[in-house]
Amino acid sequence: MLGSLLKFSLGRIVLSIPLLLSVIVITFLLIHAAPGDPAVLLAGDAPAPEFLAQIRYAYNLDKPVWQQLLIYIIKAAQLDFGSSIYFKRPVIDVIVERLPATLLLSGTAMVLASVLGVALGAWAAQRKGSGTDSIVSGASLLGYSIPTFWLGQLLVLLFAVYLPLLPASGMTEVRLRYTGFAHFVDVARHLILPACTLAVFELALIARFTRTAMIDALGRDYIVVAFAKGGRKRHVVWRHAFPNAVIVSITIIGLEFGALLAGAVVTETVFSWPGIGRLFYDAVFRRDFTLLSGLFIFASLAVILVNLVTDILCSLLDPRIVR
Amino acid sequence: MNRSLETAVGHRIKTGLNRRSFLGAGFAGIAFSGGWISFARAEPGTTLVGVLEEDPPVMNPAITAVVSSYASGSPVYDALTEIHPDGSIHPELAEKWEISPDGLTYVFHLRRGVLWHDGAPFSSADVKFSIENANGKLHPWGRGAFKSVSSVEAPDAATVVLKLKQPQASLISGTDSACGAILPKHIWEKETIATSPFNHKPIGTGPYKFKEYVRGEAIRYVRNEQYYGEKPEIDEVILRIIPDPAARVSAFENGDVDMVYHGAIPFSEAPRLAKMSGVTVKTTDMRGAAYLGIINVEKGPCMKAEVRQALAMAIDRAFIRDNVAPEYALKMVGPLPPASPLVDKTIEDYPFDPKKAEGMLDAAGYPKGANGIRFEFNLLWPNYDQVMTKAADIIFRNLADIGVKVNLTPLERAALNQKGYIGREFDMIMETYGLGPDPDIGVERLYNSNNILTPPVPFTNGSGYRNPEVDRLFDEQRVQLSPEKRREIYNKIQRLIWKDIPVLPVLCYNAPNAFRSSYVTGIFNGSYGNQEDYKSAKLVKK
Repeated sequence: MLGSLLKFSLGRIVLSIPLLLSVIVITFLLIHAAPGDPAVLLAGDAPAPEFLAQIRYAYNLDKPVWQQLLIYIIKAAQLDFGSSIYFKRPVIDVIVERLPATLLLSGTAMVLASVLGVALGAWAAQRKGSGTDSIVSGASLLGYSIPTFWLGQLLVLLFAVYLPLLPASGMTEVRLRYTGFAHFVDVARHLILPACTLAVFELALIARFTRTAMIDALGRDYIVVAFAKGGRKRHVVWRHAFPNAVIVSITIIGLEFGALLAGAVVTETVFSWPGIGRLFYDAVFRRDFTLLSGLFIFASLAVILVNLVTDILCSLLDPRIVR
Repeated sequence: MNRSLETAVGHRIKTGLNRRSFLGAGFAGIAFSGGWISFARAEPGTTLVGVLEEDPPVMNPAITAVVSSYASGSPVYDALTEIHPDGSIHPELAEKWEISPDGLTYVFHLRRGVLWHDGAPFSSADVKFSIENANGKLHPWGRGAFKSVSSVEAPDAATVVLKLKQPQASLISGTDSACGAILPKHIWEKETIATSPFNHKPIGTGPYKFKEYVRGEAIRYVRNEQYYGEKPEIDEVILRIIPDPAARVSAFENGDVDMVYHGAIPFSEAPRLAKMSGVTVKTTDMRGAAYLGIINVEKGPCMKAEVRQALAMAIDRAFIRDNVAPEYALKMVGPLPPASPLVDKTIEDYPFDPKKAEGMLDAAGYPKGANGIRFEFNLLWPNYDQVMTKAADIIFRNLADIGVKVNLTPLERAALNQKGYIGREFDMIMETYGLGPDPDIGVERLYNSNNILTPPVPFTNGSGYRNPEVDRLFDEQRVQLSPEKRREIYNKIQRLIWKDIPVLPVLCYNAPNAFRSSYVTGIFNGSYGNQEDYKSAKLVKK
């Protein structure tokens, strides 16, 4: 069991190398296909030709695209992802600096969404067709359809402006520099609104998938058999149906988590949360080629890694998957 | 504002905690803890919290006119002079100055005993270095302001002498913070200025020292205890980075932020903020800021001046002013902003007269086709600009009335630069331009044919307008020492350009800055809210 799991994981890791390479090439070309010159954006209004020349030279922007790409791949193979054109610092540093904020936000939102989503979905599935089921389904449809930016702004207006209970944006109170436990509480206060905003969409998604999977599982023959054998309802539902249904939920959670790590772009922008998502947003509009490429590589790695973990988790729950 | 609520809830949490309410209280505790955990922090000192729209590309106003660079660099850097909104010039790093009668020699006597934030002494070598390598070479406005300088000399530590090839009345307007910030030579002489990391850890002589920059979050400044002027009152200035306009307004409304300079507040929100109690909205003229329609005169129907004149008569600019930004919009006639002392107030505006415009288009060889359309017109503007989005809608209707089909093309910044200014795929680009501090710097760049660059660069002569007579007059006025003579020539320039109308001045504006006047005063008194240095900021005594 463990051996085959290891082989499975190694296989996935080896497969990810050509995947990463194609991510680099495609994103690099894609970014350069978009109109815009990072040097002009960096220099601002009517830049002096000397100013542009200094920037273009420093970031190889004066070379043809294929040369830039080649230089990038060779350096990336040595784990050198270059410097962000905009921030003028190594891309790795820029990303690592923003990572904790995103992990905190996405992690909190994901835990919130997963626990509540799975519970709600499983709960509703057992009452299929009932009033409570309709309410859960309707609510999750609503949660799934509400635009995140709109929900975020609405929550800010409600809980930060009209009822000034929570901060409107940012991650810490800049005026008072809390330390220790007070700092923890301060960050937690700032986390509530963005985490809830981000969680709503995922919660709705997970609840819907879990409900469907659970209804499907509950209709299977082995459930009928389990009941026929005289199993108590609670036992049959949670020991027989739920583990099979939750595999679907875990797969969805895994897929979404990868996406979330890559950036809760909208939520982080609405709440000025200093994470990867906002970095992505800014890098696109500034045509910060090096930072964007680095972010894409990071995002791909995150997705690959999380999917690997998801697959391992699922295989532990259902040994048929590895075979 | 929410102090009482916090205390009340905090009190309940501290006294009424039992096991049943623990979970709820824990949640509420996180929500309301602002008040009751305040004993855990050290004495914080006084702070002033402002806002930036983005992580600044550089915090270096000596080399760029980017708004966030001004806002983040201004507390740190000083210039030779300080120019007040009324145009009067005051000493900053220069104590006094003399201009020779022939206008060819400027002598600046520098303040003595000024220290850089790292403790090194400030001297004339720094000024010489800055003008030669930054202000006069890299700054988009400085290149105009210091155009006539042939040499910068530093005969002794406290004297700087500028020698000019020819007189240039506008030079003195380039010596303030708009393009004259002075950099420390000992830091920058070993650096490539445009890409140096010191662009993000500025060392200056100004009232506030740069302390810390947390990317995506905030920049912190502390009071410069060795500042040569009157000591700034507030201990710490913090500029938070909030990219979303709605989030900036919310943060200001709930008191997280004390002040927002113009540009960071949408025009549509400013009147509402002005009505809040304890809030003041103060407008600044920025020595001329306007939404301009840069018309491409190099191709299509707009190559003909009659067509451009017809468009000016077909677009209802009064309606635009009254509807897109009624509180702040100003009428602008001719190429100079109404705030400029050189503006010719007798120039007549093009009347709003669609009938006449149609006649002119017929005569110019653009009659209506079978489908009722004369020609198509590509209108570009930055998609994040609400004012221009509304104006574009009005222009679309105005021009449809005379049979011109407008292709509305809002673009993000990078694409606008590339497709518009560089790729030349436009008939008109609308966006905001700074027209100060002197027309030689902010206005001439749009009309002098020597500013049509290859490859093209945004915010230069984007129209591709060439009029040898206008070029000649610009050169002629630049060397005039007599203000009357200069005005006379500028009047001619304005009339010539207005007749050719390569740029449509959609509207000029006064820019609104908002601050919580119940907490702080003495800010946003300069010409530009985004060049505030906070040295006169005072807390309101409770």
